[in-house]
Amino acid sequence: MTDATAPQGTTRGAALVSKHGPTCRRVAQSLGAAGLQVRAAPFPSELPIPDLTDVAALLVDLDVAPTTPAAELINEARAHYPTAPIFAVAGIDARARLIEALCHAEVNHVMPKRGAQTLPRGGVPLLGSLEGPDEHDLFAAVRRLLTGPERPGVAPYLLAGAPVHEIEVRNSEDKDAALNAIVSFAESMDLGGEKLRRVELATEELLMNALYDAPRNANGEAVNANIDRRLSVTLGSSIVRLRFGCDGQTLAVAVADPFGSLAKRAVTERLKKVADGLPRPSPGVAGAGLGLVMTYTVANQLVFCVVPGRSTEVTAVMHVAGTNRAAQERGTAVHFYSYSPTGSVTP
Amino acid sequence: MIQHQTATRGDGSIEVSLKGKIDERFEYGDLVEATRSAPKVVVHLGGVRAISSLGVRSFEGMMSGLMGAVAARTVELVHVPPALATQLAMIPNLCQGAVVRTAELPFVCPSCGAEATHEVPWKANAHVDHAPACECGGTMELDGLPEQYLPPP
Repeated sequence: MTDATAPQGTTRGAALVSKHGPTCRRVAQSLGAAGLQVRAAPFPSELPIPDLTDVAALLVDLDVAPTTPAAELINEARAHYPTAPIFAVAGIDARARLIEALCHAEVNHVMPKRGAQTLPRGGVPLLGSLEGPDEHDLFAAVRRLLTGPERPGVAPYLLAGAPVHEIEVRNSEDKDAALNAIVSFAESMDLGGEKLRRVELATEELLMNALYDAPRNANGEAVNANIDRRLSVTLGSSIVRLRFGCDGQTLAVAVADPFGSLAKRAVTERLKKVADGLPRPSPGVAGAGLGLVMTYTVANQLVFCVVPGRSTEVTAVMHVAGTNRAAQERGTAVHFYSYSPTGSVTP
Repeated sequence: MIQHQTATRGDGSIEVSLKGKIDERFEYGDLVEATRSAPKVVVHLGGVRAISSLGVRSFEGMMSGLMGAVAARTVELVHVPPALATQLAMIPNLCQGAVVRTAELPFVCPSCGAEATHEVPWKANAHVDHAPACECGGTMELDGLPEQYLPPP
């Protein structure tokens, strides 16, 4: 049996830098299921891994050296695999370390280990108290990396067969109606309290971003960015698509616009404020910076898929099974996929 | 859409109650004006079910107006809902010197799974020091990470 995405006669693989047993096991299971054979090394200095040539992903567990800057670990690993997409994983001080890693130009995927945020503020967990990254999240991320952009929306993050709903948004009034629709959808599953708030918040912020911050004219200039958000806007012939669905455990919301104006740097600059501490909302008309940060804090995965000048899709994945605390303890993974207009992925 | 009501107490202080969702359409000018002569303002936030990022900016504007209307007067926030508690925890300067008294936070019973909203003082470790008792006899736990709802120690 061979994977349709692998060249005939070769086995695609992934290199993992980790000495954490649960991480090694989870990564091997998830990537193995996705069609990648995983080989591990305990430190970046022990790369490259013998007999591993066709490397489709490079995973770096930042916990192998918790006091070493993330960039240092990543640079050392990158030197051995110059083109493989890099996933950074962390459990110790996970939020700050992963945002630091995402700010590195070579890193487009960051994933917390489960159990990473269960300790008191400032506490340093024992490695034994941490699990590896979520298997399903990692599987979905790697599959999307391997299969390219042809499966957009929320389907990759839900169990197969989960119904996916789609609403077209052309103006501010449509946005309000779409928001009401997803709130009704969530309430129909008896989601309330903080779970409902997370869903509503993520959807609203993504739609506001698509209506006001994303639109560009033919010259690539922002069209609505400086408009007072209390004023209604219309996108003319352009259409923003809201897709959402739930499989009973995971609820995913995706907002796609036809502008392709989102840059990874804009995302990391805003998320860095989370690590640095927000002093207060930034002045001015636009609210996308805080909106992105708020979406990051309520989502368990935030997935950006950009074809520059052509489309941007942002997907927020939220775990809604179990308690609200269980969802928050999962932390937030961030994935940034950038495709050329011809469909090839940029690592 | 947010709604607000004001009521004057016997000591001249004014109670402001907000209800609904705070978003970009929150107009707070009348509210600030109505409290202009009060020596103290108490803002009841228990009716606020959600706040968007643009609502956070509006809320900041309201707080700025309330704090700046009369020099050195006290502004208190009470019954802060989870939606706002998360913002106050993430943006320390958001309340602009107002005193945050209490927050209504989500709790869950680890024994029987019952969920409830419970009011606690808005201070570090309040989720443990003031954890509610469950009807099953157990002690409820905060249904979330304390650092997302409460100030740091």
